[in-house]
Amino acid sequence: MPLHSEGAIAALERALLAMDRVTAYRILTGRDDTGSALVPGLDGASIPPIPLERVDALLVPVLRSIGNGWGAGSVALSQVYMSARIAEEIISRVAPVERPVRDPAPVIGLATLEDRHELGKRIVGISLRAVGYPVIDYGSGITAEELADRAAEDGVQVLLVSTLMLRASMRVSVLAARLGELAARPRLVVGGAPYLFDESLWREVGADAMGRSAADAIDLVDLQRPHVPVLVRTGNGTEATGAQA
Amino acid sequence: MSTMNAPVVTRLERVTAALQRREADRVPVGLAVGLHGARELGITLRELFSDPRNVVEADLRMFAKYGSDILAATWFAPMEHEAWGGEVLWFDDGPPNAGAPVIRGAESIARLEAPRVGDLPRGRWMLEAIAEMRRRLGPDVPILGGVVSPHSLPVMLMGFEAYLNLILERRDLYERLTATIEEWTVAWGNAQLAAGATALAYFDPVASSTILPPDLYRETGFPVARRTISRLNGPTVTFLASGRSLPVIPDLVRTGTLAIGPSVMDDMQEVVAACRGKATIVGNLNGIEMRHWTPQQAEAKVRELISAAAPGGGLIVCDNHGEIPIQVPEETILAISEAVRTWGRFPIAGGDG
Repeated sequence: MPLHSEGAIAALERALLAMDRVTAYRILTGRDDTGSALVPGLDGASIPPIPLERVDALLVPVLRSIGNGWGAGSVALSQVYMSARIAEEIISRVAPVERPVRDPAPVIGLATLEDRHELGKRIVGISLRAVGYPVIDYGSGITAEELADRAAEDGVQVLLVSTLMLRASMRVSVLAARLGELAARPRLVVGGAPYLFDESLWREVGADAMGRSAADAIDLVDLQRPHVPVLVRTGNGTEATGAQA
Repeated sequence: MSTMNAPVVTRLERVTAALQRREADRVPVGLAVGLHGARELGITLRELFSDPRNVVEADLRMFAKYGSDILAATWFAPMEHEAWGGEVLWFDDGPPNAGAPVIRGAESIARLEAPRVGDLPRGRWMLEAIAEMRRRLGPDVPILGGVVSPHSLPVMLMGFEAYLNLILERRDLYERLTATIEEWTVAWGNAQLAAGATALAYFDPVASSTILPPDLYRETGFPVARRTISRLNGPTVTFLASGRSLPVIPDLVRTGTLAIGPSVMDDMQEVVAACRGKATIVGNLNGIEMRHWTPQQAEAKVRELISAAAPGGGLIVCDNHGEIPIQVPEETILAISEAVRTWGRFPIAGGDG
């Protein structure tokens, strides 16, 4: 099946939604074996390198499509979660030196603000890692003040904040004010149910953008850059194969 | 139309008519304003929920002020997390939240035992509060208690990701866990009914197609709900806590619930069609957006909802989550209540019913 065909994208999406790891592995790697390293319990086993162009040509549009499906009501959150998890499982089984990462990539921070509901953050984190973005995870329940301080220490350029409760969503205004005091203010991107129910809330709390789904995060972390960062293998920073204008 | 000789309709009769999908004098309204009791008494939420006398005083004051047809004694869901040994996190500017998960791993599920209602101080005072409100309000006011479904409570008890993994990969443990929780849910719900609650909100957000594919719900939360609801000694209203309901409405009806709280993200015309002759609609005003509605906007939203869903009966106006956020101003709640009285008198033109 041609890499860029609608058929390949649709087949990968069907496989991820059906939690069919082996088919997802075959489409992503372009191989015909069964991906035995994906069998649970085979910790440490690795799979062959995934052709780098496949991440951008297949996985990114599929995760985006699944995220849009959730927004439209045709896909459930459990499917969004499992799709991202399976994709990340496959990518993470590639030997570290062969694993695709974006280079250069913005310094991305991720947190669930003042709240313990961290599924949204988790999905965003594994989605970004699956498509090659390293992420600093600040966990859940972190206060606005602490998050601003830690993001500043780490030189975060894009700060992704997930909230489920309205109260926590409104605390983003405290975070935004604190970030505004920094010499290099990170781009602040929010996501979570309250923002979906009130389209004006993200602006009200001082965020720069909101994501409607985890897949939106992939696009939103790229917005500050003139080009989508190319994909390279971790061990060979000069092998750029996935550049997009 | 003259009302000179119109019979006085009690709140209970008005709500009962809506649950039977017929017209009484007007559309009933249920305002879940329990969190607003702190503002009403000028105390913190933690103080409010530390003493049943505070809750009773606040709820009765707000009941008189806002003119709700239902007294919602669905104060805070993390109480059920606390019942299983969890911590409640308190905030001055928002609802209490569940703390860290209390169920960790398969061994924990195997050893799990349901808590006993009588052993729980907060459970006992919540029952006392319901009983006191029933005593002071008399028999003609519906009091709505509430339970979190055994299919949804594990989100609090073990964390959302761990619970999704359980549903998707360890169905044996899912069955064991929900069966154990079901004993608590039934005991807690029936205790509220015995104390004086008229009906129960059955909060089941994980039933929503926003969270699980409908086919998976039919294999999991549906049989749990049908079994649990059949053991509750009173009627239930199923709330999906803002999640989409449309794809599972036929299944929710088959659980035995009388009414369904759809999301503002559901198409109301389709919800009306799916519920016609089968279930009452309880909803679906947007509580998050409500924070900045003007009184005129509140009136327009209520009028639009009534026009779409009330003709013929079968609508109770409510928010779409089962809890009006504490940030919603008093004047907005009053405007909603007033709009129901203005536009909710039967017969109502509009809709397709």
